[in-house]
Amino acid sequence: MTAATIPTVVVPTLAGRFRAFLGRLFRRPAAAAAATYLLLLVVVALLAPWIAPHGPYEQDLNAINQAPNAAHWLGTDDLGRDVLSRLMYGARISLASSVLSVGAALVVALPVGLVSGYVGGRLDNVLMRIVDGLQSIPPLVLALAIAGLLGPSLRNIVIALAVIFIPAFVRLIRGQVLAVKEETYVEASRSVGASSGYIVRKRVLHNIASPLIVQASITLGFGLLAEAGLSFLGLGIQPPEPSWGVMLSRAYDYIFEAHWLVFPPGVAIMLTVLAFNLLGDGLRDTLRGG
Amino acid sequence: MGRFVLRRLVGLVPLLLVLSVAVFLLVYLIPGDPAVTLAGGEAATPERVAEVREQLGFDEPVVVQYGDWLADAVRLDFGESLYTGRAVGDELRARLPVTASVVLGSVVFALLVGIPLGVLGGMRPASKTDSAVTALASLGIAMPSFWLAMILIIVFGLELDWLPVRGYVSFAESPWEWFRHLILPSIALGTLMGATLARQLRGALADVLEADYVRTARAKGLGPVRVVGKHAFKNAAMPAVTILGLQIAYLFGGTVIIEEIFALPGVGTYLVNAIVGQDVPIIQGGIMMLAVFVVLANLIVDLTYGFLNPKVRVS
Amino acid sequence: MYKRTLTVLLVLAAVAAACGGDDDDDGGGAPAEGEDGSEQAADFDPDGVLRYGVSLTGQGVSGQLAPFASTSVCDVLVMAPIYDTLTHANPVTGELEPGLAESWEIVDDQTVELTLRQGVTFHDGSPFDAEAVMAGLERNAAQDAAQTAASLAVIESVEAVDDTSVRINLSTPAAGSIPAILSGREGMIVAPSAMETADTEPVGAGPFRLAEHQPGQQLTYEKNEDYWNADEVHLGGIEVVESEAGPPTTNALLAGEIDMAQVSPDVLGGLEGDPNIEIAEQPAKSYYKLNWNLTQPPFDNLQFRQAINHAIDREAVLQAVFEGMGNVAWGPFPEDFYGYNPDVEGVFDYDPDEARRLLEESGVEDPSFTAFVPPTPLFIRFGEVIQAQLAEVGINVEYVQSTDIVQDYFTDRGQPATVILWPPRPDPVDTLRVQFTPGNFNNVGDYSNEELTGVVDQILVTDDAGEREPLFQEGSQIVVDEALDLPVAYAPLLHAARSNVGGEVVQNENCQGVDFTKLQINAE
Repeated sequence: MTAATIPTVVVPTLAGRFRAFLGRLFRRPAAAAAATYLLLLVVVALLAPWIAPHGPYEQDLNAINQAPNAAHWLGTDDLGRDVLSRLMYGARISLASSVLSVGAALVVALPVGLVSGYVGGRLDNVLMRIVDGLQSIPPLVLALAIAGLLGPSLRNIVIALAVIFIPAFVRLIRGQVLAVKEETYVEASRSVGASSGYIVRKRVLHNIASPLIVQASITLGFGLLAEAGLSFLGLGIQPPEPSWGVMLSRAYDYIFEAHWLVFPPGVAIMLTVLAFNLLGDGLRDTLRGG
Repeated sequence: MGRFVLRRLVGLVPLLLVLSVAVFLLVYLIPGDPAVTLAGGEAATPERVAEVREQLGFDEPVVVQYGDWLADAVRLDFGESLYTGRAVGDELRARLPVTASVVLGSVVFALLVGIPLGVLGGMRPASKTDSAVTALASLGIAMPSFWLAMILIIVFGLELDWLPVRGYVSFAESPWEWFRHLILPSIALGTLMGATLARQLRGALADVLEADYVRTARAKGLGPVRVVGKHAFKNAAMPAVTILGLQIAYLFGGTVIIEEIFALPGVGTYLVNAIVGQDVPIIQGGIMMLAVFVVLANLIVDLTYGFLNPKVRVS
Repeated sequence: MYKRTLTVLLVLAAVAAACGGDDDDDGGGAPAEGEDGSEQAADFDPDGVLRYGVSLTGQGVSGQLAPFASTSVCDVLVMAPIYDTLTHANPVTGELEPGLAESWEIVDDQTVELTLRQGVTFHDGSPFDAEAVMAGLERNAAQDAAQTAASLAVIESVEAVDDTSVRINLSTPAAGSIPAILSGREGMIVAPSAMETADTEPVGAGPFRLAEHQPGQQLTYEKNEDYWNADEVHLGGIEVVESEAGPPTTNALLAGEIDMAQVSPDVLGGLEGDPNIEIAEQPAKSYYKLNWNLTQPPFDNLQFRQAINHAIDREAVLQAVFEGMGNVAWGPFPEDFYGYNPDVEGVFDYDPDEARRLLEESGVEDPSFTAFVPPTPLFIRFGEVIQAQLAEVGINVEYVQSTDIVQDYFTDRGQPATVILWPPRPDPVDTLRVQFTPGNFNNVGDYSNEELTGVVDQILVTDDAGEREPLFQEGSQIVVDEALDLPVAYAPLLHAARSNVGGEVVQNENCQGVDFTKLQINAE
């Protein structure tokens, strides 16, 4: 068996391709801004214990519900806690729940989607029916029910959110597998004796990567919104932990007296979700070959 | 067409079955024992607890419990609330118009805002208008609906005092008040859908306007408006409609928070309180009802899509 | 495209149009001319309907309408207008006054005799006589009654001595507390003719009858013209409407959608400045505190408990959480209680250094614990302040929100401690008895203190304030010295009312609303 029948191609190094990709991505202003913002956010979240001006639980009962001032750049909440510091620490919690839930969803969705698509037949049918069923339940309601019934905690929120993310990921992955199955070079690879495992690894995973990354980015944004919603209704992160959703919930209680309090956490959530969405858009356009 | 409808309807059955199993099983997530609470908690004697357990069927095997529940559920009997003992089905039926009104209002708002914006942006791709539309739409998609609700309450309720910020007035009682009370909730809930619609429409429209057949039409001398109206719009609408269908589930979910904030006595608030209190029959009945509505709404979208686009019917 | 949306719109519109009616009538009939013999100076509207906002869902009012089915003490708000009670506990003075029972006598340690008012009838016309009261009490004390059975468990039998006299025989010496107990749900008598359907169609002998009930949304009451004291009742009707605590209620009050509601100190900021709204304040007997399992480590350690008590700056909590309203709680009873012991004040004044010293002396290796907290904003803030203050001295508290403290803490004992608003019992001795003497539901660790139990037993056999006073003082001292719990604050009861509401605002304890018989709608 000679290699003469298959043309060899020079494959650039992984690092090289990555650098080229980044270059193309950053040429788009929206995506560049979004990526920069997110990077900054992650840095702030990681460094919060060192750079936050106050502790997130530090109460100053003489400085309740203050508007922004020199001592507290974004003001204080109803127990005199510094809003800016809580926003920074809140980034850790909100981002963590988002990232963990998307991660958990992928861990489950990948094998399920791959198997379902590749094996097909009855198994695929059954799995798709289950996915359909789950997707018919309004996502927020399902997450609420799961988090509420299991008992609110970070772990249970991650579980609840992961469950609502899994169906879409499974569909995406399965769809890619189905698409690949039909491509002719699967036949070609088979004809030279490659095993199905090899095909899966090389072709499918390669194809999945792009749409999956895009989807993940957008889902991260949605996860943030969902966590905020759950915490707002009291079924997510529990006070005194300063997730952005908890901060919004508390701000709502004082909406009649101190309505500026709703802006810091709300703007933070909106900007971050926007960033995830813009990044997702940019990734999609770049990967498509812009 | 008839075969298409039939096939779709039949396809619903396994879906609904799976749904019912998922909803029923949700309940097993709860740690603890609802029988004790219902038996009176404080004064409950072990005999009383056992009695309650038997009464509610908690001692039966899971499959039997599911069967019983399902048999009742198809007749819209979801049992009684664990706390108040009142029929869940009746309560759901009473609250449905409220939730339906909010969802309806949101769809209307989304269409009223999304379509014009999307068309505006799509017809002048890469112009300032287009950028503005895209930016606005992106913001709308990123904004948490309940945060938007709070801002609306602050601006229109507290500062300007133009619109009511809470409560629901039934249509039968006063159509005008029904409408006024629904304005802010509809804006809050419908913004995401409107923004998504605008984006989709804009994108699809911009693409279509470059397509060959449109250029041909223009070459023939048809003005831009007629081109848009006759050809481009109809084809651009398809993907937009698909998006709308996907968003239905979101709407029915989002109404939960919006109802809370605006104090609307709908299925959403009923469900949230039940989840907080772990009132099992309500949770099962409420989720089932919402999910069925999503399925029905999707069916309608599917059918109309098939009606509009014959190619789909064959698949 | 159009057809699809049109279909969706039509479907939804059809559903929306088929909706139930909502009773949205505002009160107010023709303005009244002057009236005769009324104590209140202002003119009132005899047809006036008071719209009272309260949360009818969630963990407050349970929606049950029969006392023996009631699972929440908040139900008194909706049931008292229908049933009235055999005795009345004056919310301000704590003294017992006649209700549907004109007088009573402690015959001996185990026997109480009630003399009923004459000529009283239930809403359906059936006589409110000894036979009816006997049946009612037996029903409330029955095995399958939800919560009323607990306090009435000491009843061995009830007899109708004659038409207006009822004799209650107890199985243990506790006659002194029976009259007080009968001022609560336990003393609400359901008409025997309506016993079966009382939970949905309640029939009582109270000042109002229930005209309509939309569960979770509204209860509509009409004045009972045949009430024995109908002349003194100035409201023509009541509408108890669903209104969630916090911003929704504030909103409803400001908009005039409701006339009156109970509020907490933290929402006052949103209400002040509106000239149409007045706040009525009344000292409360419920105190915010931390309850703990006295036989479970680390709470079985006296110094640890004392350390916690010294670590709390009660004044600061009062300021921050309750807007400075109310009083610091040093012990289990409020200042104006006849059995109050002034010596308990300041036993555990704010002293973080002493707290740290005691903590070290206690030898507790891991000074941390998890406590339940009710999920309302006020409780959560209260909990957070406590948490911060304890952290200052090195004690670490974590919270788990619980919507059902009775189930999660008292029954399941899920955590060793809980934040709780402890309401006064109809008989104050129960505050000591059910929490700190063995064999009682609220004594989660089954803690036992012989001295305290002895004091409690002595209180139980008498209902004479003079005899009870020194005993209560002794009991309070023991509770505080042993640091059996962490009392923090007596927050006042607050009701907000719009200016169209007149009369006397007499607030019931905790979540039990107001005495509607003392209110009126002012004439235009």
